[in-house]
Amino acid sequence: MRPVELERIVLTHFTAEGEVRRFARYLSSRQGQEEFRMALSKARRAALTPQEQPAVVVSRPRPAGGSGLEYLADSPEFLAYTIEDIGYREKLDAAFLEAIRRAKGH
Amino acid sequence: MRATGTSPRIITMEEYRSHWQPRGWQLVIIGPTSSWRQDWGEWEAIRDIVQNALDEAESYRCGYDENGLWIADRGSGLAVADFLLGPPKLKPEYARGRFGEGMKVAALALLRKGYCVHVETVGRELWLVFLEQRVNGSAQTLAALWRANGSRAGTRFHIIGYRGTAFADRFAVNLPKSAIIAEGPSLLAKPLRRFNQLIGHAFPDGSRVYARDIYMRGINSPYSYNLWSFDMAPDRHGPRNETELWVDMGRLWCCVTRVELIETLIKMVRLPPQLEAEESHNLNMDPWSMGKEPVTGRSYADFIRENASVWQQAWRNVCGEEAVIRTDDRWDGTVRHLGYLPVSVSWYVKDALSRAIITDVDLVKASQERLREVKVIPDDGLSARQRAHLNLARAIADQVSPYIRVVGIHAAMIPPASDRVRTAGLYGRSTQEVFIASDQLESGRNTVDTLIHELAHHTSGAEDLEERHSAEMTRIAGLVVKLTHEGAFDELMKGVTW
Repeated sequence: MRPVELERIVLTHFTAEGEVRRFARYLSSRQGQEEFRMALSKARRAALTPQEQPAVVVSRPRPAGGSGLEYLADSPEFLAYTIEDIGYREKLDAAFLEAIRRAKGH
Repeated sequence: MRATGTSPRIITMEEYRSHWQPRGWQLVIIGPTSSWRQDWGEWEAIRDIVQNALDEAESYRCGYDENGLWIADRGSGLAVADFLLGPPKLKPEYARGRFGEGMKVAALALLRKGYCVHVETVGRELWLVFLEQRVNGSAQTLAALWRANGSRAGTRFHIIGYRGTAFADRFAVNLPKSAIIAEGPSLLAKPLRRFNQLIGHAFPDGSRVYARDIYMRGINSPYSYNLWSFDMAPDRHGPRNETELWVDMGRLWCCVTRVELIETLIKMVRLPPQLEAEESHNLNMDPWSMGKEPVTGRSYADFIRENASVWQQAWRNVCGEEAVIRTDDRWDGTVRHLGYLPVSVSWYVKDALSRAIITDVDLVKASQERLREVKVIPDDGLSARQRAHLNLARAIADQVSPYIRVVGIHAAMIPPASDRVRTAGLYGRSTQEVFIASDQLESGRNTVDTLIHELAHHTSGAEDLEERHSAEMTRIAGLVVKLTHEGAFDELMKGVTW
């Protein structure tokens, strides 16, 4: 993870010591010990004290899905299938083909 | 049968004094009365005589002569004190017998059944008899007549009058070598290294469990077992602790290296069982419970890892190329998404099997590690067509989700999520970025499909195959169609190829 991303995640989401530790444990599984120590120290500095914690912590709550995976990857076949599945294949095709025709002046 | 002078079974003190004592026989009163251990019959008696012989010499011989069955060993012989109840010392841990009392009870049971018992051992011979004593009526107590004589080596039990079975197949040492189809070291290593054995033999009454070479009980299984590392209950009818038996069986299975045997094991322990057997519900291969092999100090479960290729082959043959071990059903959707199939196995074999077989967690973890290697392609590294489609995607995202914005929409080289599926689109939850594979960007249609799908991950927070994701995709797709009809993206459409 790039340092700037680390900084952003820490500042955005971690407001309590418990969360800092959890994040640090997660980092430890991915990075060397030295990086881990630095990340923990940085995360601790960034964490808010209980007095500083706002009543609403996350301004854009996005509940994590079932497994809590970091990366959600999709195959081309699955992407096409899900568009078919929601019933929008033909509607999208028609709308965009029409827009392309309009844009190209046909 | 009364005392006959040649084969005594019951004697009185008067008969001892008048007939036996003058001929040099001494009398030792062992104690228990003839009604003791009513549950013992011929099998239990012969079992303990053979057990004693095996502990003495690791082998025994038996046969019939004109008087009945004899059982002999080439051990160091028995002392008279060995026949007293409460032996001078317990047998060592590695012995088949533990308390040294079976031999006396065996003699008592045989006498009760009407047989005479003669023992010839190093330096002495004995007759086991009931001594009839008058105490408010009469009582028969076990006793031994003995005198110096006997053999120069070993011990020979003679069950006079018995012509029934010698129960040869109830002692694993009598099985043909070909019946032992696999072996693995037990926890017993000193003074002899004992090996648990997997037995492939068609017994007339079905498969069996032998405990330390001696039949213990039947088992509903395609295999029989000879196990060494669990203690028996004092009456020898079963293990002292049932779980220890199944753990010891687990130790044996960890050492099996033949594909076809492991295939059968997998059929038994997968859930639901493909082959219903007692192992399906009881086999325990918990690494901590099995412990370490005493000679090498290695964990029994690690034997599976060392033979991983064989276990993997068996697993594939039974469960399919795409099967992984299910540890938690919350990974099921992700596993299927990665082109694999989660397969449940019995709880207590899961950890050991995972030393060789990939689990759902391993699969997902490896996938996530691989996906971290995603590389963003700078816009100026794209073709004009790809750039046009990427700009369209960014414009759609801005219009469709103006408040819950993604941090970035990138063209990217995305590693395959697994060795069975390619990756066309990727959403990074922590960074809130959407990555679209460069080949998807060759087509406006594929680009829009990918964007709608990944944007729905972002706005819903849900994963693939979750209802919330599907609902959000529908909402976004509807909005995209509406905005497109309204001409919201017309300026970007010139470079778009649908």
